[in-house]
Amino acid sequence: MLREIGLFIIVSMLLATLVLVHLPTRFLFAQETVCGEGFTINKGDLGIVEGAFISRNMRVKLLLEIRVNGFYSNNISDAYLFAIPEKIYRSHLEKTLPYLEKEEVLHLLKNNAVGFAKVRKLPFDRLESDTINLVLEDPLILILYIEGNTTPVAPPPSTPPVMPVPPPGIHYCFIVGTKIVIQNEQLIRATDIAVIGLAIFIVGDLRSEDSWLKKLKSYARKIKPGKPKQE
Amino acid sequence: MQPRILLHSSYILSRLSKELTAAMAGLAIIQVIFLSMMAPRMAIRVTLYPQPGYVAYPQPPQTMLTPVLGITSFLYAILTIAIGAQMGLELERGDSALYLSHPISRLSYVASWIIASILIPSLMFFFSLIIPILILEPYLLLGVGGGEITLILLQVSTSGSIVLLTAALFKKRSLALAVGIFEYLIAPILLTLIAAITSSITQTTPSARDMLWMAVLHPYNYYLMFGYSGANWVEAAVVNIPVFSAFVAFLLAYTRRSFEVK
Repeated sequence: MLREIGLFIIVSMLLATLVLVHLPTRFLFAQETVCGEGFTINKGDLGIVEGAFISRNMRVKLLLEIRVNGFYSNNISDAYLFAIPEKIYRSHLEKTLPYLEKEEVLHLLKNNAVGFAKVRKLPFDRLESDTINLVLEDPLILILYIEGNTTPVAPPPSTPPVMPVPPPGIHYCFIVGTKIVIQNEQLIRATDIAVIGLAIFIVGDLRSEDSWLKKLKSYARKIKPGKPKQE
Repeated sequence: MQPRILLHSSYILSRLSKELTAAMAGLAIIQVIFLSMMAPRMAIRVTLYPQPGYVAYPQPPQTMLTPVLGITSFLYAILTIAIGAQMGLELERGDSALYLSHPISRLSYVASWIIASILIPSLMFFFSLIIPILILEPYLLLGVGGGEITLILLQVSTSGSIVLLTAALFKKRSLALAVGIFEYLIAPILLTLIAAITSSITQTTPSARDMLWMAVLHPYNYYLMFGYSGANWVEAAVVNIPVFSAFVAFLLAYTRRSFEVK
């Protein structure tokens, strides 16, 4: 029975590896979005949004973006999206940021980030960041940093009001793309499993009465060419 | 020297090895394609960073493997039922008399069928699910709930034991096959219909606890249907395990005491 179990392991491993190697990359990609509103820290000339929390602690490639609306982008002079390891952020940044000047805040965030991207202004008061491309190794916290006039401004009144107007303030969506990359490490793991499967197969086969390997050996002996007859 | 139960199980498996390998290949391909598509979503968890005053609401149980298991569990169940019904064919044709006349006891004969038709397909199913995950990213195992896998294994094993019991009692492959398919595919739909009609008549929405009786034979279906209203996979397993054990115990007891081969 061990022989059959070994065979199952080998078949499953072979097919899994073949499919993974030939699978188009788009199958290995997923995207998640979390949205919120309001600044965590707002000093009038500097606003910080403590945005998304990404966990699971496994190695995948991440594509991080942010989209912001409901905010007058003309008021913004500079903006960045930062990806900061959770441990570092919670241990000291979270407590110190509210008491620092904006240059110090920016300096500290840049120094501690594992990746950051500039946020661009788009038409219709929208903001969008470039994509940060990194490998997730530790849980991350995404931070949006905005410099400029961050005081909430009420939108101009429309007469007559045709639809409810959202309260003034920042509305943001963090977009997290996850990509699993097939590399050598997957092939090494597949080889490990193949070796285990092969070992189980050989042990099981040699123990069984109708051993395929023994049959193969005797068959090979039969068809082995003999010595040419001397005349 | 291998025990006779294992020898006979190996013999059954070697007779069915082509079909089993084909089924294994089918299972592996389907599982790996679906897992690859779901893996990036399982790989991370994105939430809003908790602000002061943030209240975390209880999350519904994570049933990440549902799309994969929903498809492949059918193949696994059909395989289990078909192998189990083969015992009925052996008894029907009288082949079993050959084995029972001398080399193995009745108990060993049925125990080897339990191994070949329930244990081995379960192992195959487990391997075909776990191996792609191990190759892709072992950390993904942390995101896969063991509850779903346990319940589907229990549900199919219960169906397998019912098929073996029918085969032993009536010695007819067709009947064993029909009973297995009815129990696994049709009975859950009928039971759900009955539950829907009952709750419609009584004008009440049943809670997960009210519907726990569904888990007696179909713990996985129960968990899927009532997961969002608080169904617990441990409860479902606890309700099912005694019933599954009772079927197996009855099969073994029947075999030992009154198993007759014409």
